[in-house]
Amino acid sequence: MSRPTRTDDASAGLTAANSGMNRRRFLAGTAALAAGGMLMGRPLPAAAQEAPAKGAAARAASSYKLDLGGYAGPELTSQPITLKFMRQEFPPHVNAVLEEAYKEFSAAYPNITIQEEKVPYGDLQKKMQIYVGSGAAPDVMMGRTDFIEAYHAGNIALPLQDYFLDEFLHDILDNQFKAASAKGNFYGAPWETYFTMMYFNRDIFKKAGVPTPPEVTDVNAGWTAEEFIAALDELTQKLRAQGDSTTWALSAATHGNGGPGANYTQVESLWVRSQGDPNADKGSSAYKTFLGVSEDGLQATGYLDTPEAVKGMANYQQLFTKKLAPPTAVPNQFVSGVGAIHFTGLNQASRLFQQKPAFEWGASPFPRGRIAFNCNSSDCPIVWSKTPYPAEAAALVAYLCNDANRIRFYKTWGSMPVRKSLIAAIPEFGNQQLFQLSAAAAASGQGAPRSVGWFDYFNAINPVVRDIALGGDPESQLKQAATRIDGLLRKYR
Amino acid sequence: MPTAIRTSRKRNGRMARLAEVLPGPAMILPAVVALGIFQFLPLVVAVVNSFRSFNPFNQSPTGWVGLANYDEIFSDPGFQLAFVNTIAYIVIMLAATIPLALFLAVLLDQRLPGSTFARGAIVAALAASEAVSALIWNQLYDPRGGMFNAILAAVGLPEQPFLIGDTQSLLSIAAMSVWKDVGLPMLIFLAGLQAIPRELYEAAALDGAGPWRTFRNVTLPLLRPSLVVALFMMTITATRIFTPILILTQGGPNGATSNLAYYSYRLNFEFMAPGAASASVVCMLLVIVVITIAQTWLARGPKGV
Amino acid sequence: MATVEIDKVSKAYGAVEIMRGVSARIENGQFTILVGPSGCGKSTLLRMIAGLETITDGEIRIDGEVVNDVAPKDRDIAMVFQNYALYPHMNVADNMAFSLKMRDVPRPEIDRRVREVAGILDLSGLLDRYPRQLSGGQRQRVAMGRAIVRDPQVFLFDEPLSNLDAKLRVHMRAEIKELHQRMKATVVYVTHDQIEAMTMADKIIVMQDGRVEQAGAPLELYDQPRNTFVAGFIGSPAMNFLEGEIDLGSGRFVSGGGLRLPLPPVSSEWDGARAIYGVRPEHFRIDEENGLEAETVVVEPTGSETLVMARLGDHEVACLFRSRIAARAGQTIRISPVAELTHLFDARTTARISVNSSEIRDKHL
Repeated sequence: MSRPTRTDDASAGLTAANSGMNRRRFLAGTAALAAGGMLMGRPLPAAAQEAPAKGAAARAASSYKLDLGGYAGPELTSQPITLKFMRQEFPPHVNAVLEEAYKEFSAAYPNITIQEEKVPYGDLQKKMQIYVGSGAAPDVMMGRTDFIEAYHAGNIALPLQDYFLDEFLHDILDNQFKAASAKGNFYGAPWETYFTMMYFNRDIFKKAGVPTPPEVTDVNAGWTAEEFIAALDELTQKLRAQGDSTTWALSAATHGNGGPGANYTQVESLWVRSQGDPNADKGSSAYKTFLGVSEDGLQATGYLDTPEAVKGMANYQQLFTKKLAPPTAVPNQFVSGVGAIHFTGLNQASRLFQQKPAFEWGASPFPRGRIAFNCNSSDCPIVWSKTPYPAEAAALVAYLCNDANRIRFYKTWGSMPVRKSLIAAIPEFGNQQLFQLSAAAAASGQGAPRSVGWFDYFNAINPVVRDIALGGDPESQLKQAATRIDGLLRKYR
Repeated sequence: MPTAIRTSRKRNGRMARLAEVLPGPAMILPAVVALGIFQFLPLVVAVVNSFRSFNPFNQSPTGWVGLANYDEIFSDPGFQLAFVNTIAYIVIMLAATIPLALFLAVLLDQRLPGSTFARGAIVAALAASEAVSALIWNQLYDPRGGMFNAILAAVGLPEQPFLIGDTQSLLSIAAMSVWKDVGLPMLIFLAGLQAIPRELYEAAALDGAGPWRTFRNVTLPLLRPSLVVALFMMTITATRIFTPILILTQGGPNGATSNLAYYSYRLNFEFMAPGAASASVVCMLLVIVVITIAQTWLARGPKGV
Repeated sequence: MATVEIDKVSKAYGAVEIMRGVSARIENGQFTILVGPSGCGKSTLLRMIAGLETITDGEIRIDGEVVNDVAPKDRDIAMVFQNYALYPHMNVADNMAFSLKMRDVPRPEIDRRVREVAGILDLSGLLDRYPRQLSGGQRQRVAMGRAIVRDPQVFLFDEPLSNLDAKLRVHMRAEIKELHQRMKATVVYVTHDQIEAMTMADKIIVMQDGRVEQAGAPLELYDQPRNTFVAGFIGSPAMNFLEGEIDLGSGRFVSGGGLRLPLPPVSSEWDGARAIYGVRPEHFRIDEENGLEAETVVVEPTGSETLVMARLGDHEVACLFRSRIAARAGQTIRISPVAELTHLFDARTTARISVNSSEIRDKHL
């Protein structure tokens, strides 16, 4: 574990515990994160989980012409080949990081050409399906851990456990590893993780004279959903009493199309599933609420429409019926200083604060229900099951996920690492509230409901969430949605 | 010998006839092939696929299921709503665009000052990207900072939940589509108006017809062919409304703005059900066919025209 | 029935003046024809009477009432258009009934009048047909029927026969003329065809470049054209013109080519003046003794008469003879003009300067 040494700002960030977080300090923290991860060749932490069955003997990483990270497959071909990689579009400076990496890869393996296809993030899954259906898909495609069951059932992704070192696999956060695996196979190396945290505008709270959310490092120590709604209600009323009619207590979601129903996985499902309980009796509706879908992944009725789920959605609905949040999409509401609270992930937050908002801000856990709940949603490159170059494709994934490339990526993109060693190597995750809280949220995340038809489920529930936000009855809406989803899932039986 | 000569002459004749007959079909062949591939093949594929089941992962056909896809969508309240909404869009769009387009065309046909600009503006809306237009209208409809509510507020009327109200949202989508698409029937009417000989108006003026009776008795009957075309085009346009729904409401609230086009899209691209999506598309086509046949029948002219 | 007075009417599009102070009088019950080459303003003048064109300056009066600002429908005028302007979506009966309907005439009255007019125009069997199912002549009659059925004060015809073939045109000419005589209607009729004008009109108004060149009865225009334009326009084949000088001493007109031709009566002040000598083809006669030698170029016998194109000195002239001429092209004939029927025009103004009287004409015909 090293002290950050890259900038003075970084040291300042470290010592400024519990004081107001501002943009400068946040960026400093990100930089420190990067610096910490730069340490190479340190021993990996001991594996804490049982590894999936592994056939191929792990090779020593040093035998490859390049640091292929956790790759343990055969040496790469010397034939000239082209590997196609379909991924989301990033801003140019992030794209540059990847392009730099390809250059390095091609220098070591000049016979392997890497060809990228960049598509808008929202189109990734549809495009993947079309490619796979056509029988000519890219060798590597950016998938998502929510859809791992479908990649497995549809024979879309190649099982990768045989191509990776156990140490690498064990280094992945447990919940991420689980999310990236299906039926004993590991399908995609999680790339970064997403979990929702509550960012707040300290100035607005101060102006209204309402206490800010608790700035804690424990996901269980934040506001409850009820406290959250009460605080926002008070904040709203005080702002309105002061004649402020433009500021909202909660800014509009910026995922997907924005506004209510923007992204069930990453935002709205948190309200529902946090009302469940993974430790409750298996037959109980609290347990089923937590699961979100039956064990076989093919039934939503009894899981999505439980009394607990209805309560969660009713809480969510109050945000709109009490006019705490705008009912439609509003771009840049939080960063413009007219939203007191914003729910978003670490990488989005980092981009948001790069826009230099003119206010002091802080971070708090997502409001908890019966449990503190966060849905881990990770992009993860998968290898097409029918690729003619499975070893090379796996090696490319492993290479892009090696420590150096990951650190560079996190540093540039500002997102949350998914490997324990990388998190542990960055001091901020141990001593700075935002990062400590992030690490805790990442470690305690849970996967999306395990269903082969999560794509259908997700697409069916989003508009329902929106309808509830606009005043639909949560119970009947959820019941209808569950019936509808059951119908949609029937084709996977 | 005579026989030989006759056959050879016959063959020459046939060759000659062939040389005469072949170039015609050969020249239209590319167009026929293109039409076949891009127009009729998808139609046939949609019909065929509506009787099939599919692998939800890679969308490859897995067998024949008879009318199961139709059963499935017919029993879906979402389909029923989308069907009713499709009809509603058609009725609203026709009721709004046809008279408006006619009015604008008659106005522009007067060649008043500024009509070139007005025509340009209307055609520009037609030419503008539908997605960009939808995003602009999204801002106009914004419940808080939007221009429409600002106008309502300024004149003391209650603000409207344009895109999120149960009844307002479909009208809001239709209003944007009217704005976007009114240029097409307008151009059709304008062309129709300009094809009417001026002398007929002069004859009507001398015959004692005022502006309204001239319009009613001369202009309107002579625009009948344009009207049939405009109705046809607008019916198809109204049936196909998609981008504004996708961008402005995603079919909501409670499916209030969903139509068959959007419903089919969701089935195919969000719910991995190409069979049911094809069945829904076939229903959409039937709606268009039935309505346009009805229109042609209703708008049929006297045999002299 | 009505009188139409056109009083110093002008029309300009911006700086372009297309009609300059035109005055004319159309008598009640008369068949008046506006004639002139295309672009002379005759159609514009007709449309002004109809109210389809605005008037920049001057007045148009119908029965003494100024109608400059009266809408077409209130002028009680019917017009037959060149292209008939039949309503294509209405059958013959409806086309004819339209104006009556617009005037809220009771239905039985409309039917009666339409049937009556259809009878006059021989359209009774065509009442259910649509315009596109009719021949050109039938459409023409429907267009007239539509005008007649209204019984208007003034009928306007805008080149109504120009779309018909020659034979039909002659037939329709007669029919229109007959109709006019039967109805005693005031008619203003535009044509560019001077034969139509001569055969149909009570009064002809010759126009050129937005001006009236001359107005009068057909034979008046024929006998006493005011200038070379009218002289050349009226009459077929057209009048021959030769330029030269008047020599009253010898009583001859000396053409530029040295031809010496007999003079019509002209006042002495014109002695020695430069002038244009006009002689109509039909006013040449064969004169074996004193005639001028002319070489025939073309001989066109039509049976009743013979048209000869002949070279007279430097000039080529048309001659029309009532008799059959045995000459073939290239032969020489001797011809002379009937002096009293020739015309002299001022070379500078083109105005007629010779004097000829109807007595002289009568003596020679």
